[in-house]
This record gives sequence, C-alpha cells and structure tokens, in this order.
Amino acid sequence: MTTVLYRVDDRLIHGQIIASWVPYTRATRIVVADNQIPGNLLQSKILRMSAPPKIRVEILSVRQAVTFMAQQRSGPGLLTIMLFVGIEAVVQAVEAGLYLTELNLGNIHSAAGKLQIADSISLSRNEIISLRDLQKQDVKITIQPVPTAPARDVFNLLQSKGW
Amino acid sequence: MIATIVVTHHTLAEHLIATAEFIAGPNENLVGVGILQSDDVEVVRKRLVEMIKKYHKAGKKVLILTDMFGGTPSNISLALYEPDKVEIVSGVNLPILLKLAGGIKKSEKGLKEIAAEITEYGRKNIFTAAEFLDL
Repeated sequence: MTTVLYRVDDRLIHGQIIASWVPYTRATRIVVADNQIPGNLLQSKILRMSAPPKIRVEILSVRQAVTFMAQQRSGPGLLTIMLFVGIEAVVQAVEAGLYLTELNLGNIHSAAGKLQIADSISLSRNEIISLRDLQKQDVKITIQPVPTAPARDVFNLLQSKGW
Repeated sequence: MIATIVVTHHTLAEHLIATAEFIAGPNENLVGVGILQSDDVEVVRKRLVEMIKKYHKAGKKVLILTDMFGGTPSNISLALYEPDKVEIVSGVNLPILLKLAGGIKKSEKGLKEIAAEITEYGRKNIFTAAEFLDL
C-alpha cells in the first residue's frame, strides 16, 4: 500500500477530495482518522456515502488508523489518502507511531483567537506549536487546497504574519 | 407549504436562484446559502439549523437542494434530514427550480413525494443533442 496524501481537512471527504485529489492521486482508498466520528453513526454513514463508489472508506479512531496503516504498509495494492479533521489528530497519530514525510493542510477553519494565514487555514497558538514540532521531525508541511493550486510552505506564510 | 433552501459551493446558490427568479418571477419561499472556501462548516450548519427552525415555526416543511452529492453543502445538509420535515435532494439544476416555482401543486403532496418528483424531473431534463438530432 502507498499513501499518496496525508491531509488535514475539517470537511473530511468533500468536493475538493472527490473531484480533485482522488483523480489526481488515483487513490482507491480513504482512511479517516478521528476519535469522534466512528462513534457517530449518522456522520459515519454520510462520510461513507460521500466518497465515490469505487473508493473504499475506512473510518477509524486515530490509534486504530495508525495500526491499520502499519498493517497495510507491507501489503500490495491500494493507494490511500489519509484524512485528519485537525492538527491535534496528526500529532496523536505521530505519537502512536505514524511515519510521514509530507503533510497537506487543506481546510482548518477560523475560530476566535486564531490567526488566519490563508483562505481556508486559520491556526491557534497550540496548532502552530504542533506544526513546529512536526517540522522538527522532518515533516514537510504545505498548504494546498487542490492539486492545481500551488503548494505554499506553511512556515513562510507564518513568517510573513510575524511568526 | 414548503420552503426551499438551495445550498451550494461558492456563489452558485445565489446565481441559480437569481436566474430562476429571472425566468419564473420572485419566490419568497426560495432562499440560497453559498458555502465559501473560507467558511467554517460548523457556522454554516448552525445557520441552516436556524433557518429550518424558523420555517418549521411558520408551519413550513423544508426542502434542501444541494449542488453535488458528496460535497460539503450536501454533507452538511444530509445530517439535517428529518422524515417529513426536512428532505434533501442533491444535484440541483435550473429545471428543478423552475418546476418547483410553477409545476407542483404543493399542498396536495407530502415532502417526500415532492422530493421524489423533482429528483426524477431533474434527471429527465438532461439531454445530449445526439439523442434526438442524429437520424
């Protein structure tokens, strides 16, 4: 199995994923790593339905998802997109043993006290600290909503905002 | 009585409604919500919940039309489904809006039946020239 995209996207499986990233990466599976959604039947169902028919969808807790990815790694076959609803879940996944070299930030939306650095990316202080920790572990982090848009380095954008 | 909320990506809802009203005249029971790249999904969801509450209080059932199955507008809307109170149809097009504006005797039918009828109508109104011009 090859993971073709690790992405933080608070909309999870949606238009940008099904219309752009799936055809671009030729992914055949989407793994959603989240600690809330597996327990929410309605939300799980909607997520499964929203993926194109030929895409396999796994909705797992962060810990389960990391184990799943490790087990699949040795096997052949599916190209996988791994989605996280927020940066916190990525940190948990890395702590649980997930190895990644690149992280795509797609949609992280605004809330009070967050710093907006792109159209669809607003970061809290804690999220910025987490991103810096990931960077220290040699994870390249870029902001790229869709494959045809340029991938922008998150730290360059932060720097331009005085961080 | 039925109120229709068109929920789409970007500004499609606004323009689709403006176009439908240009053809069929103003419709006070037709409103649009466009979701921008920068919008927080949770904020949009709450806005829709408030709109639905308002319509229900006024004794209206709510038909939500979304632009694409699997997209965020559709994903948010599906979670608001309530049998006979809130129905969702994805893949809205202009024929559907025009049909709603004029062609359905709404008072005689349930929400589910109206949704099924416009779904069928929307599908039937997509044509390829070759289907009827090739002899």
